[in-house]
Amino acid sequence: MSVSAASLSSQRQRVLSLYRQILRLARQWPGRPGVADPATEAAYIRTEAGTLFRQHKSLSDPAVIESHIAEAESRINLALHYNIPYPRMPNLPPGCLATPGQPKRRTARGMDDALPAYMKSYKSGYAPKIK
Amino acid sequence: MLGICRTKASLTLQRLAKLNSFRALSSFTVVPKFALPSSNKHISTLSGISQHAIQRCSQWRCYASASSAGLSQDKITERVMTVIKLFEKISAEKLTIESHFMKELGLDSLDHVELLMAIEDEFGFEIPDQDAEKLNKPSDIIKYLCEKMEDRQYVCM
Repeated sequence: MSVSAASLSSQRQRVLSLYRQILRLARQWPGRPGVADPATEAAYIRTEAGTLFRQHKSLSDPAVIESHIAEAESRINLALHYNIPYPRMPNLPPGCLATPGQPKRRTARGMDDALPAYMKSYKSGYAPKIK
Repeated sequence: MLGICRTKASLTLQRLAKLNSFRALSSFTVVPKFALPSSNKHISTLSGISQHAIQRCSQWRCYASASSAGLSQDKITERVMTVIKLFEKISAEKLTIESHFMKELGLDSLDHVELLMAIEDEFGFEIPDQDAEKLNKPSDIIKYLCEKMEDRQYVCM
């Protein structure tokens, strides 16, 4: 599997500029007056971005990196749109992934597949460790 | 060293004076700081002078006083090194002006981004991406900041 150096370094630049964009967002985070304190949410944005970007920093497959870039971009866009930096957690109650043969089964793989793109780093009930 | 700021201010005011026959202004070379607000009032009552030109004069005035307030090369060096020392991922013993962030101080590229954000916060302006990837040592940062300050009519001594 040959990967061109140019694509890796341009991906690297995109990743770093995404990280920079998120940190700039955290600087000017407006918060929701009366509901959410801007300083707390800005701190959350910084720790979340730091944790998630560092978790995946040794990835090498460009397709996987591309899907993580898409995850970051969708989280940025959702945060900007709703003014809420936290991801909307999926609700997968028992039986929601039922098939005719397996009416009650909820497999880990099924739940992972059901996650939206912006939750890619939160697989199988996994929450990133906050440092 | 402050000659650049004052010459430009005086040239603009001379041009303004010629445009509007305000002879009192046309022969000065140095405008004391307290004199400018009152002469602003005279200027603004004359027709044809843009508010923009007056604002630019008072901006030059501000820059002239700010260059004594900590933008010489030594002061910039001091501020940059303080910011870098406060960054918790860098050990202060290994830090020198020429130490490379990634190779000698062991930062990764994400830490580098965070460090440059801290410097942007300190100095109050944004560093674009293409410039940011070249700033790998404290001396690079100091040189870059001096150039940027010169562009904005601060003076680096």
